[in-house]
Amino acid sequence: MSDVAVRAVKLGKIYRIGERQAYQTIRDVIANGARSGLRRASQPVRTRAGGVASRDDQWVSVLDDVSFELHEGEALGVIGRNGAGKSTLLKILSRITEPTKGHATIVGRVGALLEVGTGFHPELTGRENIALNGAILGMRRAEIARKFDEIVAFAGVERFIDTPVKRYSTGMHARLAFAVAAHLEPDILIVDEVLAVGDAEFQKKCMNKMGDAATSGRTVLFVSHNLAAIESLCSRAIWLERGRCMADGVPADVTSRYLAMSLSVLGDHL
Amino acid sequence: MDQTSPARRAITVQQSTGWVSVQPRELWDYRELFFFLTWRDIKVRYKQTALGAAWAVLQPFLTMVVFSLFFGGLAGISSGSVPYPVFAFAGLVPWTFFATAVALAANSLVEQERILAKVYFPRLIVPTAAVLAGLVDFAIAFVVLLGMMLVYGIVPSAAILTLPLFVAFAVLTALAVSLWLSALNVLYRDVRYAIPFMVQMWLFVSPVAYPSSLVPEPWDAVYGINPMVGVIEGFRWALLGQSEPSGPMLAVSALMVAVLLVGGLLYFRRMERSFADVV
Repeated sequence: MSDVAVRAVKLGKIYRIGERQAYQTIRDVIANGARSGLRRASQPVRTRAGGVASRDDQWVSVLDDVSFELHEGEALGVIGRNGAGKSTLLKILSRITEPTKGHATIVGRVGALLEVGTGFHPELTGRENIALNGAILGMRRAEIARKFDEIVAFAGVERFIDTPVKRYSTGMHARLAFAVAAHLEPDILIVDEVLAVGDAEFQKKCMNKMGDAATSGRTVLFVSHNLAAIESLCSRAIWLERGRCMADGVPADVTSRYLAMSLSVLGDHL
Repeated sequence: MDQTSPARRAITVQQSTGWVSVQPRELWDYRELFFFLTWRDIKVRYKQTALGAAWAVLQPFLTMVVFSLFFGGLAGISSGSVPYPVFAFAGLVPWTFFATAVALAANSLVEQERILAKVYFPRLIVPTAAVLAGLVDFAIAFVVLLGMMLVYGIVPSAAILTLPLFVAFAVLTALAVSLWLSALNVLYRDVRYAIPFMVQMWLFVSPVAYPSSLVPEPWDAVYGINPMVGVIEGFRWALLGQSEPSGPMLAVSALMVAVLLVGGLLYFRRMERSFADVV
């Protein structure tokens, strides 16, 4: 068997939810510091929302004890309902966020496409954005220069290449963004379902590129709600449910188990 | 790809705890992205402005005119043997660099939250690129300063050889302050509102409109706690060749920058892991 490209060991991530999840101001810190000081003196303390504050009711586990090994050249599909932890798993593996439990080892250059057009600047021209976006996605300068014509042709924006992208139509913008992403050639490709946007033709182009990546011996991690795509592109699939890995195996088996569960949940509601 | 190539290294992702090192090797791996982000910040700077890069000169120049009128003229602040306008402008050039670099860099992480949430790279690149992009404005204003020296017939002394040192000093000061503010800004949006006020106050406590010689002898070293004192006095002396800054003052300023920079790097690296979750 080929070498291991990705090894995830008991990966877990908990997030804090509640009123202070997003931002906090210095005033909040001081106020909360004072509040927790008071709390020791007199309990219970009421939060602004009116509920009783507690230290550990505000944590939610989005990923819990997920382990798997991915060998070089394997294409792994990740399925699951919204909020099952799929995107969090991809974010951890692409090092955007850290796990709070467990660890993962990754061998090789990782290219993460969690969104197309990351870092596109509206004031810059198509040409400039190709260079910038390519660099953000992890391409080398020489690589971008070499693939430049191909990217422009793929996007079909030759005439507008020196126009600021803020003047592009939504479709042109999406095509250019996707064209850059499609020419990324890392050892390990991590793709989120957000790629599946645009019209039917665009989607087909996207799927073809994914197929190329999967068959060219690259290691692929692919999140999608499109079960047919998972079955045709991937050599293996895992199913996440509330942060836990429910099944790991041949895509057809995993998707059918996932579907069976979804139907039974639906049945319970009827 | 061969086994020794840096990209082929095995990477372990796990929760980091406490203080983490700066990892210069990884920064080096991302040098091209650093180059592109700096280039973008320069490129985008004056897009769709009528005056374009003239803004780089207008701001310090008009400030110099106002300073000359009120501080040099009406208040009669002495600028030694150098005409007051040149004196003020020589202080405003490094000051304007510092003020704009800090204002841009401090907001850089927050403004690029989308990238932070979708792509991994060493986050240190973002504020550093914003600071370095400010050097273009600095260079333009510097040429105008040389022109003014020519008009007033000021010939630089041998001290001009130390100029690159003081420019580097200015960059490091801006970077040190920016690391703290940009990381704090991710957690506390108060920073965004505090910056214009902070920069304004900082101008008054820096020797831009007045010479640091106004501060009496034993206190000039204390005055050096503001690192911009060392930067501005050093820059002015290197160019205009008069009123050499006192040794203790420069030393205190340099020490302050070193402390701020190392502390800023450590703090930034410590907070970096939560940026994508919090921003």
